[in-house]
Amino acid sequence: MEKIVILGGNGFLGTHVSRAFTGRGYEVHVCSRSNGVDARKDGALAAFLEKVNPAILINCAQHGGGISYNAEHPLDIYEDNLMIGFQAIRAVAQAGVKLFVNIMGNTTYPGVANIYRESEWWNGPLHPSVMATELPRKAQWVHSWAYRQQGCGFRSIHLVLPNMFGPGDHLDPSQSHALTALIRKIWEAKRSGSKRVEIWGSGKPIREWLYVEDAAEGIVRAAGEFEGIEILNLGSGQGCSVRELAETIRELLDWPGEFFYDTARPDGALCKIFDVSKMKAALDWTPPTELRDGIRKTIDWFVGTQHATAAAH
Amino acid sequence: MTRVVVLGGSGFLGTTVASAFKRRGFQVDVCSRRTGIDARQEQPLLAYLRRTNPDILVHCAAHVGGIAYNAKCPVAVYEDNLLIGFTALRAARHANIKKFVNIIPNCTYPGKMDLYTELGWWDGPMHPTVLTYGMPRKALWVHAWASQQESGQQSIHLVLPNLYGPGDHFDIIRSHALGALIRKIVDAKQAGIDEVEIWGTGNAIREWMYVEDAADGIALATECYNDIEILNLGCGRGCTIRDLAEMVREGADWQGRFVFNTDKPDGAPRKIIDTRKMAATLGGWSPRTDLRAGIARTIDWYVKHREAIVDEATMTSTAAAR
Repeated sequence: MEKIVILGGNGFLGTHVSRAFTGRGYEVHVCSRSNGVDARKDGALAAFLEKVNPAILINCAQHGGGISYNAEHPLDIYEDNLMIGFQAIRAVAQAGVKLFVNIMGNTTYPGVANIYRESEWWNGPLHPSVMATELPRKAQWVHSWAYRQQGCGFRSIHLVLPNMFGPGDHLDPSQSHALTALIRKIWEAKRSGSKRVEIWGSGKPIREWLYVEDAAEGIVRAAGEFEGIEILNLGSGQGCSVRELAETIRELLDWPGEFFYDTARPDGALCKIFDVSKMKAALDWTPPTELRDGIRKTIDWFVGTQHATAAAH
Repeated sequence: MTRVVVLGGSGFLGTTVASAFKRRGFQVDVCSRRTGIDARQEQPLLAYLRRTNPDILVHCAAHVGGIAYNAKCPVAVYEDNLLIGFTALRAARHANIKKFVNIIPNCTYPGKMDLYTELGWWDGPMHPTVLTYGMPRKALWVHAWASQQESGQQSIHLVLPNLYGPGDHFDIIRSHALGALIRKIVDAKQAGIDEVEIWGTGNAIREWMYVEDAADGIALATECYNDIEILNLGCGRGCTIRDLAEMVREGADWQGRFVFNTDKPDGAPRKIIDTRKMAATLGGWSPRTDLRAGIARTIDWYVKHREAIVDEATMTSTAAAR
């Protein structure tokens, strides 16, 4: 049975990626600080990989959090992420792992980009709020490229994903993604009988959301079928405004209240979506989950966790 | 007296930087592999910095070569430079050094950019031939930025064009274009050979800065520049490899001809530094040395040290082969 090691395999995406590979018959090993491997330390990960002897290493590990956490700890975030990526690639080379998978967020694109096209990945500075998290991911690409130029064995793929949502997201509001945070807000309003939920900005900005199980499936497919070292976007290529998201959640939660859009808050860019033409051509695939279905599943999961918490008290 | 440690201070630029600081009245210590410290490892470097206790750390250390060397050893170039920068900045912070000076090559600018303006530093991919050398220096800028945000560590980041002058690498693999040209032409003259091969079309335009001017600019910027945003140092003028070859031919008084090997890569087509911010920041300072005069001095130095360099190059390549 082929083995795979997932760095950060206990995280939101990592858990789903782990499940997806298990479903394809892989023996999955999760590597994280909780099982005693500090990937930042020289040689620690290499020793782990030599012991397990996997065919694939996936780096889903990310030291980062919400915007305020990132703003307060850029140095820790930078140093941890840089060293994890650096040691991961060295360990892959040393342990003879055949494939390295680098998972990246859309904020590795220039801060001002509106349509994320692979060919424009380097064409501008990162947004300062994510520089410490994302520059290390780009450095991993260069590092992998260097090994390839050197002609050293392993293959690497570098996948860029949009914002994700789905069961298993962080529950802590400061760490969770915007969509989950919105579900929480509306659910709490419903529970407390409030008829009003405040949303920052005009509600007009359009963002792309990828259901986490689709993300995991896309990663499995790319690991199997994509050969290039150049980055590959995984996404639906379709955006949705904050207002539409909010309305969908209101409907699904059957909450009778009203949204108040606080237009004194900044909107950010009007539209941020992926160009997925390369993905369609390379993988002959698009994410199957409709946004509405994904939101419904996420709500079911979220409500379940809240009931479980309530029952425990 | 203000104390400076020059990391990589035994190298081509580092040696000259150390002299420039001494001339300005600083107390200078040199730290390099030749002085027994491997800057890829944090503990020995940190112990050294705590012992020396400088006010300023100038990071001139690099695992460096020309584009041929980068193509041959991309992994070592990337990993060594990344680790040296990472370790140096952290060690400087832990040793409470007041100012960190990062020296950055101009190949960190986008490969397709004609005029290197500071504001456009991130606006495009680097040329692939220099990516593994340049990326670690850009990563170091982000690291320093993060460190300033979180811990208040002060650093400046100076971008320099290709350097030349006495003490340059004349190793055929590791030298930059100008050093390689001088070596090839002087050697051809000594051996009575009347043809010299030059890699590429000869049309690539580069800016050359005499190493003593670079060191002078670095010392001056260290004294009077305090912002984290990058600052260019240079002449703002370029010269084709072909014209450069002609100057070397005249300087070396050699009568042969050049053959341009167009199978070999040119690298980026043009690299000129925008020096407007430098002029405004450094009170009108600019490099003093005329290219012809600088080349003449470099040729003199090479002719005097040629025998020793040939021996050292042979030893280096033997060591690398092991």
